[in-house]
Amino acid sequence: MATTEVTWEVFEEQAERPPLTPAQVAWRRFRRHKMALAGAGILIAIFLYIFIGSLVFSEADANYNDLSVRLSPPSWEHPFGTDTTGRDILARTIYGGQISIIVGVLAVVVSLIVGTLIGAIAGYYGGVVDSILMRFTEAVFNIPQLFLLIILAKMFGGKIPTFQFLGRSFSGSVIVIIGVIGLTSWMYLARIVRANFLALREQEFVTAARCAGARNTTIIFEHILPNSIAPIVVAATLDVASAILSEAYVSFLGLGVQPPTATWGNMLDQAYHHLETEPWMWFFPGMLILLTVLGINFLGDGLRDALDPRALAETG
Amino acid sequence: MGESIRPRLYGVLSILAVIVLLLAACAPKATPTATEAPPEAATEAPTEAATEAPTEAAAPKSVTITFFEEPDNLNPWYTQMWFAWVARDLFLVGLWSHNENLEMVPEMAAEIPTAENGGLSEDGLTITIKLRQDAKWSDGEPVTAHDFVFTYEMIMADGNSIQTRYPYDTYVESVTALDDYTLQIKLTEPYAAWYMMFKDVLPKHILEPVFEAEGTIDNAEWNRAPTVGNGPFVFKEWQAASHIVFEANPNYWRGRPKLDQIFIRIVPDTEAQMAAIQASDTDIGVFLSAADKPTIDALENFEMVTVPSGYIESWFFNLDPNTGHPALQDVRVRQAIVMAVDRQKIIDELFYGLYKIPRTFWYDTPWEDPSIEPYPYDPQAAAALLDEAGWTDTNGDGTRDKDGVELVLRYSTTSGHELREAMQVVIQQMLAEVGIGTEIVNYSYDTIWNSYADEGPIATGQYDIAQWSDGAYEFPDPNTPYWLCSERVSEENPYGTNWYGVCDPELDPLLQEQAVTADVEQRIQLYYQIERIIHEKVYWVGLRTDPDIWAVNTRIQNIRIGPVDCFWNAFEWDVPE
Amino acid sequence: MGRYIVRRLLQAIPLLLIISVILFILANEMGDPLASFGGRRRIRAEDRARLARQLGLDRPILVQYVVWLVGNDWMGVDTDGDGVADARGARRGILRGDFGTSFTERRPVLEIIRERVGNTLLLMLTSEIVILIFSLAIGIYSALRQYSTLDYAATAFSFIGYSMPVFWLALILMYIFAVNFKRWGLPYFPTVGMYDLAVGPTVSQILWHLALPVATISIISIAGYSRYVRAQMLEVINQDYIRTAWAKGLPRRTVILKHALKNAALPLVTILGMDLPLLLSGAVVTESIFAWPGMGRLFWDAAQDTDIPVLMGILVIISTLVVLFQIITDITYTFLDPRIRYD
Repeated sequence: MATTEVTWEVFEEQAERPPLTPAQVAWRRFRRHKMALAGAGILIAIFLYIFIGSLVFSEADANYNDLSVRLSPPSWEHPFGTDTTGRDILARTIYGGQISIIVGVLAVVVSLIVGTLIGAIAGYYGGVVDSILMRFTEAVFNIPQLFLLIILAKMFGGKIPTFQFLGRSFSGSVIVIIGVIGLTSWMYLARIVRANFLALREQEFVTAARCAGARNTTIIFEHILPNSIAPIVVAATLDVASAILSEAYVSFLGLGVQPPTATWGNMLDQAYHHLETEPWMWFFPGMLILLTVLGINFLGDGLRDALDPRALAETG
Repeated sequence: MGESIRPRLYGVLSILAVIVLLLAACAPKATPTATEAPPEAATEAPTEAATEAPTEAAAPKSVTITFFEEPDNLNPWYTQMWFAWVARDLFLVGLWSHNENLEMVPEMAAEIPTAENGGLSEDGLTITIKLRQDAKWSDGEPVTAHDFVFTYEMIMADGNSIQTRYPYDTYVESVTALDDYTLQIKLTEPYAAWYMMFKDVLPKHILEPVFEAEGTIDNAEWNRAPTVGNGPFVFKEWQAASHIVFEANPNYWRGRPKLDQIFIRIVPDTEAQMAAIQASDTDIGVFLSAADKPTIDALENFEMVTVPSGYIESWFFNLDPNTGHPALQDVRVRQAIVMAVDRQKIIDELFYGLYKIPRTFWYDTPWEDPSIEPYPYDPQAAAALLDEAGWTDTNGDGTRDKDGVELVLRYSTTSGHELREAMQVVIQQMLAEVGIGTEIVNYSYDTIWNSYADEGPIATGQYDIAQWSDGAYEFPDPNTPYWLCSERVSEENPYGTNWYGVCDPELDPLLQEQAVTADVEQRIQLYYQIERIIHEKVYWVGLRTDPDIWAVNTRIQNIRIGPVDCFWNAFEWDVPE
Repeated sequence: MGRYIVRRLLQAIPLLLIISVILFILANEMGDPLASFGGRRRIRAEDRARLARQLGLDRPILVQYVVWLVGNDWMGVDTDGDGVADARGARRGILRGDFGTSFTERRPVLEIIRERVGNTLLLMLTSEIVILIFSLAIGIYSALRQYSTLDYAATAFSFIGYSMPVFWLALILMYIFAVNFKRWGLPYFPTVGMYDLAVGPTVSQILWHLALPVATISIISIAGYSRYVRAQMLEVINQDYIRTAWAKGLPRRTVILKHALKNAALPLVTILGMDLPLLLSGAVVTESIFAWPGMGRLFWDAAQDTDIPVLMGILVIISTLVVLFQIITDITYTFLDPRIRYD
C-alpha cells in the first residue's frame, strides 16, 4: 500500500538544489504533506491536553463520583458535563486519554517486539526456520483479528491483579488489554520485516559484516534492522491508531479495562445508553478518539510518503 | 507492468465474484416452516369459531415482542435460557401455570391437587393429578397422562442430554398413568416444591417415534420447530437470528386466543431494542435498564412494567479463611461494610427509585420474615464497629489496617454491565469514606460462575465481595442450597454451590429441614429462623431488588405479565382493530 | 505448474492443521461451555457431570481434538456414567464433513452456519460494491486533482470515517436516520432486522433494511481503499504510456477511464478478491447492532456461550477459504503474468 506522491514539481525543485541527505528529503516531503502536518498538530494538542490536564486535575478528581450531580450537562463547574455516577467527564477524558494512548502505544510495542523478532529471524535465517515461523504467522494471520481479540480477552480477563506504577495504580486489566491487542496485531509487521531482511541479507554490507566476523545477532540488530526501520516506523504508527480503536471495541464488547479506571473506550461504552439523552457523555471521548486516531493516521500517511524508499531512491 | 494481462485477471476475479454472488443467492434459506400444518379452523372448530371464520377479511391482529437473546431450543428440557422459557408460554403448557400473583392456574390439570381433594397423600409422597379431558394438542390429538409419563421417561433417558434432571432424579420415584386422564407421581421423600414439576409436557405421539428411531430426542425436529403444541398459540416459523412466528391455536382448550399472530423478533442489542421501542417497531420489550426510565416515560404509547423476578442484586462475602480477607472473618466488619453503603441513595439516584432494599434473600414472598429490618446507612456506626474490631488506620494512608494487613477487599462482579459498574464505583467511594479500600476485579459473565474445576474466580475464592443478581434456586419455591455445609466447594467437591465458605452449625440443620418440610406454615417458621441468622451474621446482603423491567405498548389489552410464567395469560391478550 | 499447485495444496494441509490446533486450544481455554447450561442459575453438579459425559467434554483436550477431527465412531463411549464404554460414538469428525453439534442449539453446526452464510454475503457483498464505487470515485478524483481542496476534503472525510469506532457510527446512523427521522416525519430507515415481518422478505424490504448497516460498513472502509486507488492512480498517470496518451491528444475521458482507471482499479479488485473469504466472518459489531442474522453475530453469540463446535466451525471455514483464496490468487497470477515463475 505504498503511496508515491512524486510529481514533476518536486523533481524540478530538488534538481535545482544541492543534494540533500535522506533525512532532509524525508523532512521536506513530510512538510509538504499538509495533512501530515495537521495530524502532527492534532497529536501535539492532544498530548498537551492530557499532560497539562493531569497537572490541573488529580486522578482522584477523575474518579470522584457525586450522585447528586449525575448526568448534568456541560456547565462552568463541569465543562464537559458528568456521567452516570456524577464524575467529571473533563477530568476523565484526561486520565482516560492517558490510558488509551498508553494502551495504544504499548500494544504496538508488544506487537513490534514479537513481529520484528519473528520477521527478523525468519528473514535472516531462511530455510526451515523461515518456513516454520512463516507458516505460524500465516496461521495466525488467517484468523480474523477480532476473533482472536475476543478469545484472548476472555482467556486472560481478571488474571492480573492491580499494580502500582509511576505512583499511579493500574488495573491489571490494562496489561491484559495491551497484551491481547499486541499479540493479535504483530503478523503484518513480521511479514514486512521478513521481506526486508530477505532483501537486505544478500547485500554487500551484510556480506562484509559477516566476513568481518560479526555475530548473527550483531548483524541482525545493528546492521540490517536499522536499514529496514522506515517501513517499520510507518506500520507501527498506523498500528497505534488501530490499537486505540481496538481498545474501544474490546470495551464495547464488555472485555475492556476495569472500573474505576477511565479509558476513552470504556467511557464511550458507558455512554451507550445515553446516546440521545446525554450526548455530552459520548461526544467528548468520541471526539478525542476520533481526533487522535485521525491525527495518527494523517501522520502515518505523511510518514509513509516521506520515508518511502522508492521515493528516496528517485530523489535522493 | 504487463498491461495486457490485467483485463484477463479482472475477468477471472469478476467471475469469481459472480460465482460467490450466485452461491449466496442459492443458499437455502433454512425455514423450519410447519411441515404438518395445523388443521384449518373450519374443519374441527366448535360453532363459535365457525361463525367467526367469514370475518377473516380483517387484518390479522398481531403483536411483536423483542428478545435480545435468541432462544437456543424450544424444547423446554433442552434450555435454561430465560427467553426460551418465555417463548414456551405461548405454545406449550403443563399441568398448571403461575399467574402474576404466583397463584396456580390449572391448564392441563382439571384441578390443583390438595390434601382436601385427595390429590396430596398424607405422607406427602404421592401426588395424584386429574387431567382435563377436553385438552388437545394443536393437531387434534388428546393430551393424556401418557404424555406426562413419556415426558418423565425422556428426562431420565441416558440418550438425552437434557439440561437438568432436577428434581426428577432427586425426589421422584415413579410417574404413572392410572388411566388416560389420571397421573400419579410417587416421591422418594417429601418435596416441598412439588408444584414446580411438569410445568411442561412433551407430545408423545410426535417424539416417541423419534426416540425409538434414534435413541435420543436431542436432534428431534420438534425441538426447533414445535409445530404441535398445546398452548394458546402454535409455532409457525423460525428464521434463525431473525424472528419466530406463532399463530393462534384453534384447538387450545380455552378456545382460540384473541390475537391471530405473535412475532418474536430477535434484537441482539439492548440499545437497538430501545430504538425499536421508540420507533414503535415492537410492542413488548424486556430487560430494560433503569436508565431507560426517562426515555420510556417520555413515550405516550409505552409503559414500564416491573415484575418481581425472584432475583436480588446480592453481595456474597468470602468467609473462607484460606482465600478470603482475614477482616471478613469478623462479623462486625461485615456489618460495618453494609452500614457504610447508602443503598437507598443508590436506588433513588441511579435507578430512579425503581427498586427497593430487600430485607432477605426471599424478598416479597410468603417466606420472608417481615420483621427483619435492613441495616441502616450509618457511616459513624460503621467506623465505630471497625475501630472496635481493631481495624484502624495506623499508617495514615487513608485505609484501615490491622497487624500489617491493609483492609483492601477484592470486589468482583460481571464486567461490561453499565449500571452494575456504576454502582460499584459509587460503593467503592462510600467504603473509602470509612477507610475500607476496594480493588475492582470483574469477570465476563460467562467466566465468573465457572466451577472450581474450571478455575472459576469465585468458586476458587479469588474474591472478597462478589456481586450479582441471584435468587431462590427453584423460585417461587424458596429452596436454595448456597449455605449448606455439604455444598462447600473444595478439591473433593469441585462442583459445590457454596462458594462463600459459610458453614454455620446453627443454620445448616434448618436449611436441611426446610427442604423436606411439606407443611407450608411449618416451613415458613423455619425460613424466619434461617433469615434471622443470615441477617445477623451478614452472610448475604441484598443491595436492591432486581425485578424484570418490561416496556409494553399500551394498545395491548389484558396483558398480565407473571414472574414465573411471563405470558401465562397470552390467550386473553387483545389489540384494538 | 501442476507440481507447483500440488505443492501449494500439500503445504496448505499442515498449515490448516496448525491453525485448527491453535484455535481448538484457544477455544477450550476461553471459558466453560457448561457454565451457560444453568441459565441464570448455576448448573448442578450431577447435571454437569452427566452433560460433560454426554457432550464428550470429560475427555482430555487432545482426545477431544481427535474426536473433533476424525470422529469417535471407531471408539467406545460411556453413555450411562458407569465408567465403562458401552456404545460406539456417533461423530464422524470434521475431516469427514461432520462439524459436530452446537452445544446450545443442539443441531448440526453446518446447518446453523448455512442459515447465516447467505445473509452475511448479501450484507458484505453489497457493502463491497458500495465501497468499490466510492473508493474508486474518491481515489481517482483525489489523484487527478492532487492537493486540491476537494482532494483534501474527500481524503479528510474518508479518514474521519476510518477513525470512528464502528459501533459508534452504527448507533449514530440509527438514531439519526431511523429514530429521529421518524420523529420529524421524514422518510426513515428501519432500525433493526432484515425485513418488516408483516410484509415479508421482499426485495425492496431487504434493500431498505440493508441501507444503514451497509452505510456503516462502507463509511469505515472507504478510506483505506480510496487511498490505495489514489496511490495506484498517481503511479499510473505518471507512466509513459499515459503521458503518451495525453500527448497524442486523446480526450480526457478516454485517457482517464480507458487507460488510467482500468490499470488502477485492477489491483483494488485483487485486494477485494483476497478479502472475500474474510467477508464471511461478517461484521460482528454491525450485525449485532442492526440485528442482521449473519455469521459475525453467530460468532459473537457462540463466543459468549463458549459454544466450541460453532466457534470452530466458523473459524475453520474462514481459515480454509483464506488459505485457498491465497493459493488461487497466486496461481491466477502465474497463469496471467508470464514473468512470474514459482517453479
